[in-house]
Amino acid sequence: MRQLINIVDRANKGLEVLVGLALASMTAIIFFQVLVRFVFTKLNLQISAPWTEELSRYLMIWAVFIGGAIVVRRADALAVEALVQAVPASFGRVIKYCAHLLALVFYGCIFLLGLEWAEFGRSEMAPVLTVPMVYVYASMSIGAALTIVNAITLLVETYIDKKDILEVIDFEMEEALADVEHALHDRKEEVIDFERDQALAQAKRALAGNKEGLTQ
Amino acid sequence: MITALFIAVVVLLFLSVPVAVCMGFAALIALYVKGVPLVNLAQSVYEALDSFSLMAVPFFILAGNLMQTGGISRRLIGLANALVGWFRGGLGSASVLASMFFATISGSSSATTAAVGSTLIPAMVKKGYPKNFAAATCAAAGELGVIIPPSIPMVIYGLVANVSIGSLFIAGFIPGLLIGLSLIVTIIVVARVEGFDVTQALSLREWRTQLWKAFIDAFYALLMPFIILGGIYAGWFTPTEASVIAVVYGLVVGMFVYRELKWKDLLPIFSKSMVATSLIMLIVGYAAIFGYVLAVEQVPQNLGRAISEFSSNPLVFMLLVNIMLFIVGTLLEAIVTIILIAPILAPVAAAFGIDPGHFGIIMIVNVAIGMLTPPVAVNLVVACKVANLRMSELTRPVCLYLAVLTFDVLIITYVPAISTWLPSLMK
Repeated sequence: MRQLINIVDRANKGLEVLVGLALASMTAIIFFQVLVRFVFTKLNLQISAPWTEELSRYLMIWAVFIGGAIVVRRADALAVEALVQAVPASFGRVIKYCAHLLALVFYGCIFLLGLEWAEFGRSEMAPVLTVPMVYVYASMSIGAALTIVNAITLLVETYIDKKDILEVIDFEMEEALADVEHALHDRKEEVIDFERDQALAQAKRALAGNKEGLTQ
Repeated sequence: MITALFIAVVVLLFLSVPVAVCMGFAALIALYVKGVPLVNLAQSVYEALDSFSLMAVPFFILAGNLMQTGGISRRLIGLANALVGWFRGGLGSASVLASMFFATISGSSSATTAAVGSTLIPAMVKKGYPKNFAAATCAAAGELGVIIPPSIPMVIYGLVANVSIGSLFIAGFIPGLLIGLSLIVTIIVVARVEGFDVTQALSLREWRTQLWKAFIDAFYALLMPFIILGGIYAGWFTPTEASVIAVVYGLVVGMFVYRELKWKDLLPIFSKSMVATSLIMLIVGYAAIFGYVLAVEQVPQNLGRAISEFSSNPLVFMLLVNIMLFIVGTLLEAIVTIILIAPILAPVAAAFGIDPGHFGIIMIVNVAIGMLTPPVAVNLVVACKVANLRMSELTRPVCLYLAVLTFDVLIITYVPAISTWLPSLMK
């Protein structure tokens, strides 16, 4: 079981690299489009690149569905936690499990609907790139399948590691604080006089500390 | 069908089901009840995501992250401090000003709060500010991140309410200045009344040399808003093009000018930004089918009729909107609020003859305040973590700031020129 979890996690690392590369390509493609529109025409270079917009949109769609799956492995999604936090922890846990199961059912539906939709894409062509749209439409089902795998992995992991399902990490916050630490760490010159070590220690303590309820 | 939709959404939301799933699931149930082919859902989601304007979201998130790692944020804080840090209440004002500079680059508020707070909360405490006041100041100033352009909630609002994103950006500028100034005045008054933050003796010459040094240091960071906003304002490029220029600019400045951004940092930043994006975009996608069901059932029209039966006065309508957004904002995240409410209220507002850009700014400012109102208050949580305080310890200063911000909201609501003047010059 543990090995399976490890495989899933390694696959997720790979997916993260893929979505990162997708965003990097989108940047390059759209920047190229800007160059075409503003710079190249000024230089009398007549290049037309109608494919840029379409390609980057399709990359984005893929990256969104794959990224959505990665997020699930981290038990993180924007959700309203008010009720879960307000009721006793044991009841809150039951609610949280229900939420995970409902999400699983939903993604099951999305997987099937996505297949049905991809079927339409076999006969439809992308206007500029002239590839069958099934290559784009398939992203929904594949994303849903990966989401289901990740959601199950998360549930299995909480079960065998006896983790608390309520200990959901707030990803955005964690990120922001990691940035803080990074910024403090990289500081070469002190622009403003303040106790750097103290701030760093505080940020660390906050990260390590128990998740304080939002209601406190 | 519509009852099924609303019951499903409310139940799912309270069960802490992820918001994207809530909207998709509820719409799915509603479609099923009505007997519409379910594959419509897939189609709606694709049509919503297949949008060039939406691509501004990943790029602005990426640009913000690049600036953070590339050392730009630190220089902006240094500049703000050199500018106003010397008078009584100056350091608090510097944190507001730094947040405003920051907001011209980043579209997110929690990132603004974290970056400014981690440097300036300890500095303020050292100068005698009460710690809870310092933390509340950074949390309140952080909301400027979404009001001063660029702003991710504005991109989303523009898409769901069908308003030009570029003109929303331009419209947010003066309201952002107004809110920033009102916060600075509050800090100066509080510092004077409570007698903290003693004035430093600083000669004009010293101030000038320090300011000049900080200005040179932050010069490339300051150029950024001119490129983005100037370009949109002049009509050279679309918000999406501006966002990609921001990314490339951030890359160049971070890697080759400040040399703080390393090659090895890049891929993790790209991955992180895209994952954060998909969190938002999935909601946008599934909200589209939700919005489709609402439109089919003519919910905005019916709601508009109900409201106009209650009162046909647009001023009363706007007051109701503000109260509702305040309540919803305590429970829901900013982007979620916009996606849920804007498709319903924007058409009603238009029917009342309210300028769509103005209404957008009212919504944005309201959801920004929602980041300060518990239980769901992103900025407060970040500020508390940075300052190592409990949220309840912040109650008093936060209430003060909320009072000031409420006043600002009312001014922005009832003086449309604040939001419509700049965009009107554009045309």
